[in-house]
Amino acid sequence: MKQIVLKKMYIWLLLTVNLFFAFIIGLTIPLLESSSRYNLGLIMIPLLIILNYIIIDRFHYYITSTNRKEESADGNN
Amino acid sequence: METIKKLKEFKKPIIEYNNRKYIFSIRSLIIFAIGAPLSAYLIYLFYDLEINYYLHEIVVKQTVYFLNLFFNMNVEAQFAPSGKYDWRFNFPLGNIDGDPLSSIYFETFCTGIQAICVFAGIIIFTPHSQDKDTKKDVIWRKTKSLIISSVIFYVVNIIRMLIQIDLYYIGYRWNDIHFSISAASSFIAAIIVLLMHKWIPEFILSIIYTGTLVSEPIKQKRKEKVKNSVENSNQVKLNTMRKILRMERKNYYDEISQWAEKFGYAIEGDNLVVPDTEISEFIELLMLDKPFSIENSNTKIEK
Repeated sequence: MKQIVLKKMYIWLLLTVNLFFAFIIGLTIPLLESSSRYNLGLIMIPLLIILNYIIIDRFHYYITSTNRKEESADGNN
Repeated sequence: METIKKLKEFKKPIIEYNNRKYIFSIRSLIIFAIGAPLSAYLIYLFYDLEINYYLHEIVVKQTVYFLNLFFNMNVEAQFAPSGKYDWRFNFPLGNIDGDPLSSIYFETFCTGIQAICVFAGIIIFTPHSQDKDTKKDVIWRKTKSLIISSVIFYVVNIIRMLIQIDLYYIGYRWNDIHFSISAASSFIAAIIVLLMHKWIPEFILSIIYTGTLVSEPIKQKRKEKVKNSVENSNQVKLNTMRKILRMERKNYYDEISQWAEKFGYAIEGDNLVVPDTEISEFIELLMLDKPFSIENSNTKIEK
């Protein structure tokens, strides 16, 4: 149980950093002078969405592997 | 075509590394060999398009910020689009002695994106193991190595520019420092490969795996040659046996003599002589996955 709470906090941290990246991109665009400045968001935001999916998938992996470990421990008892 | 057919029939080797099993399909290895360089080139071409020149601005402005912070050289970033150069570093107060200093023009290659593209291509197309447990978290491992390697390349590139522009500012000629320091900074690629091996050992292991797949038909052919030679004349060249037993060329004679004595074979000149009674057993041991391995030889001796 303690392990899954720690993993959950780790995933929260990753999601926060991901959102922070998106925030920084939004903050940066108006400060840029290049004519192609809006493309920064167009390129980076889809990549961050994919990263978001990968982080959620990682959480799913943690849950399933923890459940499997608990089940095998119960089976041994 | 014949070779590919033979490769498909051949029993796939399994590489065990850090308690994980690595088995790769031939298709994934071919896709890796073609896809990695091709995608690296295409990603670079994409970032070299004018629609991605915002990247120039981000890199130039960050470099300028750190140049003024660390070296107080009053350098500034100037937006002056001309062809492939959108941005340039200007030195309004000249060099360290106050002498005028010409601007440095910035292009896509200066962003270090080419190194990131190469590793992105490799990471994306690195084959996944066919073992279920090994490939379970491969996407996560790949993402981690892609992000970390990109960040390292980006930071190292900024540091490279800081060093170069500072040297230029204190009086070195640009042509003397530009290519030499750029080439020297590529040492970081070696570190990235080591880091990558920590997270995605599939990259190095797939190369080793390819080597095994290519050498296997040669080994089989050699075994067949030895088999025919022993069946026809009871003899086989010592050098061929050395290759089969994986003995080093240097001082192999003593080693092979001991080996022959252990199995009851004789050595005459450059040939190994197998007695008539031992031929069938010799062929049986020869055709094993690990020819004449100790475990197998012990069981045979006990018999």
